[in-house]
Amino acid sequence: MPTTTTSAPALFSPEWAEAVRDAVDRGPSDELRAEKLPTYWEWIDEVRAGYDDSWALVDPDLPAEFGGGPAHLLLQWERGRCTRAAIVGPEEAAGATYVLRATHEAWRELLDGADAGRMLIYRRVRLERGDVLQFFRGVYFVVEALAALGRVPARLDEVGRLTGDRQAYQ
Amino acid sequence: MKAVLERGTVEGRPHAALTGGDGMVTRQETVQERVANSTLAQIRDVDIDDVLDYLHADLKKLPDYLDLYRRYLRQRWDVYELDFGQDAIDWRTRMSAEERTAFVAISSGFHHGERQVEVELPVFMLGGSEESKIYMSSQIEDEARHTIFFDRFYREVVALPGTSIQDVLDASYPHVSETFVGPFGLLAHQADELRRDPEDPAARVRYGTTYFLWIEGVLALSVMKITLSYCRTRKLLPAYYSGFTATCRDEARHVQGGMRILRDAVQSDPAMLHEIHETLRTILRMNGAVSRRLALESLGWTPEEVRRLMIRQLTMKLSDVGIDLPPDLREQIDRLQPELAGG
Ligand SMILES: [Fe+2]
Ligand SMILES: [Fe+2]
Repeated sequence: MPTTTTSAPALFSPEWAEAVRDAVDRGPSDELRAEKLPTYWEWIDEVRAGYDDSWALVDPDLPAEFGGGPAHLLLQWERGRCTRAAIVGPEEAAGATYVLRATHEAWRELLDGADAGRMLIYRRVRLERGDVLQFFRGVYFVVEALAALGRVPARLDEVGRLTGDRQAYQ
Repeated sequence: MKAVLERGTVEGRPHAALTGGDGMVTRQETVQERVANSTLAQIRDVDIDDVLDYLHADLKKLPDYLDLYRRYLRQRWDVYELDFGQDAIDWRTRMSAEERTAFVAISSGFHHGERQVEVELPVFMLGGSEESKIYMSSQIEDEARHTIFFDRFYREVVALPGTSIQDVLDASYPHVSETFVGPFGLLAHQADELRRDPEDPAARVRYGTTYFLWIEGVLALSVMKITLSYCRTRKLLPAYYSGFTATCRDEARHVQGGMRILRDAVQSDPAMLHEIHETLRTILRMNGAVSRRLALESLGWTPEEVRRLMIRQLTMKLSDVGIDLPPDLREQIDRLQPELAGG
C-alpha cells in the first residue's frame, strides 16, 4: 500500500517528522496487533518501557528538490515515549545512540510497504553507528517502529507517487 | 580443557570412545563410519540421531581445519543428483494441509537461513589462519549448495512460483516468522562489523557465537531433528530426507569448525568468553519474542519437546568446548522458547 500522495508532507520535512513521531509513539492499531501473537507485542512493550535511546535515520541522497542529502531524522525516546522528532544536521545525528542509514531507493521501498525486518536482514537499512548487540536487544521494537514510519504518508519526489516496482533485494 | 572435552555422553547414549574395549565400541564406530562414508544414495538409510551423534562425538576432539577440509572433499554431494519426483507426489497426496503448512513454516526459516549464512560467510574468511581460510571456502560452497537444495525443494515440491533464486525466496518469505530478523539480522550486522576489520578477534567471536553456536549448533540441528524424524516416521519426502540428512552431515563439519574457532579464541584470550556471553545474552533476549504459533504437533512434536531439544543442543556444545555460563545466562536458557530456522 503506497503511502505517498501529492498532499502529504515531503519526506524529511518538519511536518513529516512530527507525523512520524506521533505514529511511532502511538504504536500499531489493534487491527495490526491482532496479526501477531500477544507475546510478541508484550516483548516490545517490555523493551519499550524503559527505552531512553535515540535513533538517527539517514537518507544520504535525498533529491535536491527536498533539500538534498544527506538528510537526518532524529527520534528521541524517553522512558518509552518518543518525545522529540527533528530534522537535524550531521553533527547532531552523529550523537544519536544508533544511526541507521538507507539509500533513497530503500526509503522509497520502506514507504511502499516493504517489510522493515527484511530490510534490516538484507542491510537495505543498515546500522551505521551504535552497539550492534545492544541494538538487537530491542530489535523488534525498532522493526515495528520502522514499519509504523513506513505507513506515514510522505511525498517522495516531484511526481508524488511511487512506480510500484519493488526493487529486488540485494 | 582436555578433561572437559572428553566428558559426557552423546545424545544421552554412551559414546564409543567411552565404552571401553567391548563389542559396543565396534558397533558404535561402524555407525559413525557409515554416517561419515555414505554416498548421497546411501544416506537415505541413515538416521538423523546417528548424524547428531557423529557431530557431537567429534566435538570432543575438535578436528583441525585441514582435517575438516579433507572430509569436505570426501563428503561433498551433488544437489542436482536428487530426484524430487516422489516428494512432489507425497506432498500432494500423502500430507495433510496442516502438515504442509507446518512443514513450510519451519522450512522457510531454513530456506532464508541458508541464503543468509552463505552470503555472510565470505567476510569471515578474510581473517584467521590460512588453514581456516581454506576450510571456510568449503563451508561457503556447502552453504551455497544448501541454498540450492531449498530452492529446488520449494520449486519442485512445494511448487512456489519464480524463475530466479530471489523470486523463490520472495515467494517463501511470507512463511518466515517475524522474529527471523533477530538472529539473522544480527548476523548480517555482525558481518558488517567484521567487514571493517576482519581480524578483530572480539568481532570474530561475537559473529562466531551467532553463526556457529546458535544458528548452526542450536537452531539448524533442532529443525533437522524435527523435520527428518517426521519424514522418517511417516516414510515421506525421500529426496528431502536424503538431501537434508547430507546437509546435517555438512553441518557437523560447520559446527565442529565453529566450535574450534570459539574454543581457540577463548584459549588464546580468556577475555573472549565475555564476548560469547554478551552475544548469548542478546540472542536469548531476542528469543523471548514469539510472533507466530507453529503447528508443531502435526509433525509429531510438542512445543515443550522442541524447547528441551534446543536447550540440549545448546548446553551440549557449551560443555563440550568448555564454555562456562554465569547464572543469569543459565536462567535465560531455562526460559528458552521454541524458535525454528537454520543455516
Ligand atoms: Fe552450515
Ligand atoms: Fe547450511
